[in-house]
Amino acid sequence: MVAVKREVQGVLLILVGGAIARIVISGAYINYVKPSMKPYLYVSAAILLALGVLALYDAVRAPRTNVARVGAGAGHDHDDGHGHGSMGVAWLLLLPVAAVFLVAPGPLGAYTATREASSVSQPKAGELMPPLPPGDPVPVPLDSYATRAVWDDGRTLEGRTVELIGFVAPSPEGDGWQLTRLALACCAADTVPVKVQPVGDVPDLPANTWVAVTGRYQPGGGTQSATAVPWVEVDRIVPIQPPAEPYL
Amino acid sequence: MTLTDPAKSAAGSTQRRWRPGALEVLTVGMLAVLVGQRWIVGLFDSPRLQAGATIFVSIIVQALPFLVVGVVLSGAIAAFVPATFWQRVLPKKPGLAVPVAGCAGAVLPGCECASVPVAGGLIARGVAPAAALAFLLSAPAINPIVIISTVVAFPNDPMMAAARFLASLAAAVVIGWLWLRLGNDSWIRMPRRDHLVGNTDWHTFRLTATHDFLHAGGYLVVGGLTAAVLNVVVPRGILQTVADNPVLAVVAMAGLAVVLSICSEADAFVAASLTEFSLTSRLVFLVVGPMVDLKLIAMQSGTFGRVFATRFAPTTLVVAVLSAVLVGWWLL
Repeated sequence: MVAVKREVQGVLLILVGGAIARIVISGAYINYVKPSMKPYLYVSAAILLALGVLALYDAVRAPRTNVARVGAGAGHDHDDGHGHGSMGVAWLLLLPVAAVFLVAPGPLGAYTATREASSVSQPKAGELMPPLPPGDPVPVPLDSYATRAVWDDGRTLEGRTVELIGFVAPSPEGDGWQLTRLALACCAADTVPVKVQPVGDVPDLPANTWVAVTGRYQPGGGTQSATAVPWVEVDRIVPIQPPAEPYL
Repeated sequence: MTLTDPAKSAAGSTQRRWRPGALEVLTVGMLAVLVGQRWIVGLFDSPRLQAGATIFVSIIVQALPFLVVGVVLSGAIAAFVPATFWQRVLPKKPGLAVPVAGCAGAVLPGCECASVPVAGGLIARGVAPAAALAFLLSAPAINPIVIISTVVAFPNDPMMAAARFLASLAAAVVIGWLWLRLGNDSWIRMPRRDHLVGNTDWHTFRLTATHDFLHAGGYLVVGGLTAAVLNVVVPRGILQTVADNPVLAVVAMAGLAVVLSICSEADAFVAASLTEFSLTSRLVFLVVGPMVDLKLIAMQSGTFGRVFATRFAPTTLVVAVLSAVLVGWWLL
C-alpha cells in the first residue's frame, strides 16, 4: 500500500473541498441534499480547502526539517504506527470527487419512483386541512394534493381546478403513467415517491418528462392509506422545464 | 513543479530505490481520467447506475458537513482540552462514568459520522473506553436534532420519540457496562497519535483534523458505496411480504437499518414512510441505525481496529434490538 504523504493529504483535501464547492456553486447540490444544507456545505468546503492548503504549505516549506518535530508525519509515513498504509483508505475519497467532476449524476427520477409504492404523509390527527388559496387553476404541490385527497376525502379539493407539477413515471402495473415527485427528508438516499394517477384523456409520454397537469379531483384512487394513489381528472397536460428544486 | 520536488527529496532521504511517489500516481491518474472522461460517463447511461451514483454522492455530501464538525471537534479535543479535564468531569468509577457519558450524548448535535472521530479522540485523551463507547452510541441517537426530527416524522405517535430516546440511551449504557465486564481494552487498536503532535496547539489541531478527516472519510466512502449498491439492488418489494410477521418484521427492519446506512437525522422520515411495518419494528430501525450500519462498521474498524469492530458491532446489534423491542412493547 502507498502511504499518504503530507502533500498528497493536501491534494486530497483540496480535491474533496473543491468538489463540494463546485456542486454548491453550480447548484447541483440540490440533486443530492436539501437546499437548507447550502451554508453548511460552504463552510465544510472552506475548512477542507484551508486544511489542504496548509498541509501543502507544511510540505513545501519544510519537507525535511519538519520530520523531527512532526514525527513521521512529513517524511516517512510508512513508520507512523498505523501499520502499513492503513491511511491508504484515504485514496477512496477520489471516488466521490470523480463522481462529482466526471459523472455529475443528476436527480433521481422515474427509475427510483417505480421501485417503491407511493407514500402519502398523514396530517396530525384532528388537524383540519386549510382551504386552498384562491386561483383558477390553483397551483398545488403534489404532496399537498395527495394528502388532501387521501386523508381528507378530497373535501378541500371539491369544485376547484388545480395545477399539479411532476414528472412522468411508468405505472408499476404496466400501463400508463403516474404524475410523480420524490420527497426528500435529508439526502437522496431516503427519497420516497408521491404519485397521482391522471385519468381521462391522457397522452403517452416518455418517462422523466416534466409536465404541468391541470385538472380536477376525482374520487376513486382509494383513501385513508399511505400508499393510496389518488386520481386527477385531466383537462390539460403541458410539458415544462424541470423545476429548480427536483425534490419536494 | 514545486509540488513534486519535496516528494522526490523526501523519497530520496529514505535511501530507497526510486519508485513513483503517491503524488506522481495521483497526477497520472487524474490525467488518465480526464482523457477517458467520455468513456467513463458512457458507462453511467443505465438509469440504475445513474440512480446508484446519485445515491452514493448524496450520502457523501450529506455526511461531509457532519464529518467536518466531528474532526474539528476531535482536533479541538486533542489540541486545546487538557487530558486532566476529562478526569475532572467524568466520575472516577468507570461504572458511573458510562451513564454520565451516555447522557452527554444528548447535547452533541451531529450524526454518527461525527461521533466516531470524537470518540476516538476521547479514548486517545485517556477517557475510559467504556465511557467513550457509550458516548459513541448515544450521541447520534438521542441528540436534540434527531429527537425533534422523530417528533416531526411521527405526528400521530408522540410516544415514538420518547421510546427512541429511552431505548437508545439504555442500549448505549448497557453496551458500556458490558464492555467493562466482558470487554478487553486491548481489542481497541487505536493508531498511535504522537506523530499528530505539532509545534503549537494550533498545529496539533490541524494535523489531527486532517488525519481524522482523511481516515474516517475514506471509510465513509466504503460505507456509502455499499449502501448505494444495495439500495438499487435489493428490491423493496421483498420487505412488504415480511412486514406481516412480527418477528420477521423486527429482523427485517434491523437488517434494513444496517444496510441502508441512513444518517440518524434522516432515518425517522424513512421509518415513518415504511407504514406496512409495526411501530415496534420501526423503533428497532431507529435504535439500530445510528449504532450499527455498514458505513459505521467500516468507520469503526478504521478508527478502532478490525478486532474491535468484529466484536463490537454484533454485540451492539443484539443489545439494540432487545432494548428497542422491550421499550416498544412497554410504550408503543
